[in-house]
Amino acid sequence: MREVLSLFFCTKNSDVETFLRDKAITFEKASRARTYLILDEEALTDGKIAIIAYFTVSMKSLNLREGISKNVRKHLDGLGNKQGSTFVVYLIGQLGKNDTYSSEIDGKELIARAIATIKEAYEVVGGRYILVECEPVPGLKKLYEDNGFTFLQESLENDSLIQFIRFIDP
Amino acid sequence: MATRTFEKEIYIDQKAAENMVKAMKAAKKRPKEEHIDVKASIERSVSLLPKTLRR
Repeated sequence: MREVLSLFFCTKNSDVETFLRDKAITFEKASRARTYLILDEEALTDGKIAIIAYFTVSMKSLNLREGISKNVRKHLDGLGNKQGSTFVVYLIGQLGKNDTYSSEIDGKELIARAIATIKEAYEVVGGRYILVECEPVPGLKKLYEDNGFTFLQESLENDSLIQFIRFIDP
Repeated sequence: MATRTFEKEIYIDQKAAENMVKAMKAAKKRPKEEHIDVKASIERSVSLLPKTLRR
């Protein structure tokens, strides 16, 4: 399997490449996240494995700061609880296309597949939001906004990342 | 995308929490999305995989 993963290239974002090659299996074994590969069907029928793209989903806990108003907390909770200090969301932790097959899938379809996968979990256990974190690149911002994500905040750590959130509708 | 997102603590302040409420309201205006049958897609891919890579 590692040999197959080693044929994934993402020059735009080395973290996306390194995660799949070196960490995805470890995260999978530890059940910290689940990684889904989008494979080329024609290649598969020929007995070859070509990874077109992938995404990794997980759960994430958001910590609510003390200053948040009760009214907003009530809306977030969905059941009117004003006291909660944490909030669990689904996370699209990684998402990327393989440079070799980048024309085979567009960002919209990739995000749609990640959301559809999360919705499988949503049907079983519920949940309210999907979080994604990305670099503050105009193209990426537009991609997430065009696909139902709303700007959440700039990362509070000094990593220059921004976060988007999407409410899960049934 | 960043691997550290899996690990780091994320804090939400009033402004971000308001953005979450905005996201909830925006979802109500969103057109119905096309259903993707994830299970069928996975089953099909797995059936085409070499046996050594199935789990």
